[in-house]
Amino acid sequence: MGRQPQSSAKTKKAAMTADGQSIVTWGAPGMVEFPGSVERLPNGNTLIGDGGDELGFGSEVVEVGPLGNIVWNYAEDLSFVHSARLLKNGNILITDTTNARVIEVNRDKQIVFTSDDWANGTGTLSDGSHLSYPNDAHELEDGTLLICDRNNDRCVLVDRQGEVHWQFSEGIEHPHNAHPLPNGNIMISDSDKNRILEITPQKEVVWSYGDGSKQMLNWPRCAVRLDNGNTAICDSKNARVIEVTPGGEVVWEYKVDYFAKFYDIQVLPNNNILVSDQQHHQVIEVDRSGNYRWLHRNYHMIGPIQSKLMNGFFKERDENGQPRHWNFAKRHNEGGGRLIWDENNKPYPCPGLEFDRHGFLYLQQTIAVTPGQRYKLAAKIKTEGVKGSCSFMMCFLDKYGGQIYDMGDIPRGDIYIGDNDWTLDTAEAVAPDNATCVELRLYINGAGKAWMKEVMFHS
Amino acid sequence: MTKDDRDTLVREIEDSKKLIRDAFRKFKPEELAITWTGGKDSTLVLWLIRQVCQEDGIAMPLVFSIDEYDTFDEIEAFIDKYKKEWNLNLVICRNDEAIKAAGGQLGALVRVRDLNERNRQEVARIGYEEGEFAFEAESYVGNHLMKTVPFNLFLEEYKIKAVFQGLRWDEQVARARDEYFTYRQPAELSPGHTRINPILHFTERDVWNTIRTFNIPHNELYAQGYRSLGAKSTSKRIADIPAWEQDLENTGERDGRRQDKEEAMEKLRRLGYM
Repeated sequence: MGRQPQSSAKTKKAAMTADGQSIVTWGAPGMVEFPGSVERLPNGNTLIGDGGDELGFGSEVVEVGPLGNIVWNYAEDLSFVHSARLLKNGNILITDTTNARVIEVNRDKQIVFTSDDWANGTGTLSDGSHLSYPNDAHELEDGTLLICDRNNDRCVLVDRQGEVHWQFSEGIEHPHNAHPLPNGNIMISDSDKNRILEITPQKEVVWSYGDGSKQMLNWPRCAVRLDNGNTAICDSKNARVIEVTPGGEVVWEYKVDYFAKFYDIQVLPNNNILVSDQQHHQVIEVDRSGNYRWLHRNYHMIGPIQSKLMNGFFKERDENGQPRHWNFAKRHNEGGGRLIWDENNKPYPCPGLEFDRHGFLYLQQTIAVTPGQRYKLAAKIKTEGVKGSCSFMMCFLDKYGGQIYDMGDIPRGDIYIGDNDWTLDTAEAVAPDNATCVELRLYINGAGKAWMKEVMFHS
Repeated sequence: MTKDDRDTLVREIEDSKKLIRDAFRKFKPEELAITWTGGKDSTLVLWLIRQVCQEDGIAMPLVFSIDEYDTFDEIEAFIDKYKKEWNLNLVICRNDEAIKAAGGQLGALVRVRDLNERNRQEVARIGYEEGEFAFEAESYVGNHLMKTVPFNLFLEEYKIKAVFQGLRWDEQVARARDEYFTYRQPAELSPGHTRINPILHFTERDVWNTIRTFNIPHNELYAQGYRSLGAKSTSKRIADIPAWEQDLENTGERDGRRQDKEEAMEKLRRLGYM
């Protein structure tokens, strides 16, 4: 029984402007929306594992030349790719995250290995488990694969037949970037616990950084060991990259003043740092003085950006059955969830979200705002069986399409859990000085259903 | 109250008076107005401004009260009594046109096309798309017409540049922390103005301590157990004992289910991948 991969690149969707003109499709090949892994190749090009846009389109692997030219890309049936690593044989090892698989692709774009083939096409490993949100994969000398299996809170060493040789899961939560070190140890970013671990094959922790406090590390997602014995760490939610000594002293820092959520780094032979910047949709190379030495950014915002809220009362649907002018964002759906309609609502049916797992979904619209202006959002919300939470958010974006606030700080209305009959929800916020637009989002995480109607947004 | 408590209270009052004096320096008397709902917070602010005006020999600014057409009789009577006793120049702001379109009936269905031009413009501006709405406190449109519109009309008519309000930090969610002086940019149908909140640093308990120590007038509804007084149909009495005797620190002034939501918020913050 094969798993049908969730496709992101195949199904494109046309956007409509406010006056009904159809514009460029999303998920344009070669366009980097959400860069994950980054790797400068021996030939001077840069390999990027791109997670695609918020709506779930455009995830691909891209090889970019120094002048920004797209040299090669692979985009077949991928969903929220987190990593693409060059193998010795010249092929690319890819974690196709939402499709819960690891594949190896050759330069002719043929899949030469897929974890989906394990255990008669079930994708099951020898211990009976299945990969769940794999976000990194590296090949060891002996050809086995070290896979960082995030939602199983582990990293696992498997051979190409799915036989588990080794795994580590002691106390790590939502890890990233598990990879082998030259000394035979393994480096793991224990992201949700805000720490980095170096462990031996005997599972002994021989080095760590981070005491769990957000001041030291806030959601670290990559750590690389340098030749001088120090470790460079991607401190994602602190918008910085740091270099620390074995003794834990911070000896270098690259920090930016926006909510970058840096994901992956590579320290180059010239000591510059290659970094993927998820929030500004770019890959940058910075030197030790913090100057850009290379920049790759070919992103355009999923649009259009409206001048005022359109179709807040959901009188119109588009040809895909979605509320016109609203976007269904499913990049973080981890394979589940859907848009639903309450067809019985009077006087018009109203849309909602149904979800059933970790991750989150939202239904959103992007509207231009004036910095410093106060805005008010009103909507009626109904929920059923919400086990995580549901809320209506005003997510302000800067001019590079980056979120200004971290999730916990985004201005929002009330938080809804469980069952709630139709409730008037309001929220008020001042657009920050660096805001250019706002994404209004009906958001749900965890299981449950939520509907909205009579949405109004005004200054 | 211990001596330390009383000293702290006196200091807080002096800080508020400093802010009020700042306001009188920044704005001409005729550019200022005082919001008065008849509730404990705005009455305290009114009293503090009165103190400053008496001490400094300044004329009291205009006072205004928004009549949302769903007020407690006790509040109306309270406002009426102290307007006379304190010799206040009081303007009652009310959207008479909207009330007329509702036939004076709370809960009535109002047709948008029966409203006057200004009200129709306001309905369009907020993006309300239906042809009618219910004239009640839970209606966003109704609220806008009965609260925001009379306020904007008042600012326009009297050319007000700044208004005093009675907001406190302890009644707001953490992220929405107002400053003492906040400028609101002009928007469609809404003049730019500054909002001055001199008692932001007071807690609910500080307000009651001040009121009872200095015998500041307060509405009898609080003695009956009301903690917060808004529209009559949505204000709930949550206990039978006077507000100042209730467990202020651990029970919600406005929302009884705050606990669940705080937990959900905390969970959201902790989930790293969000």
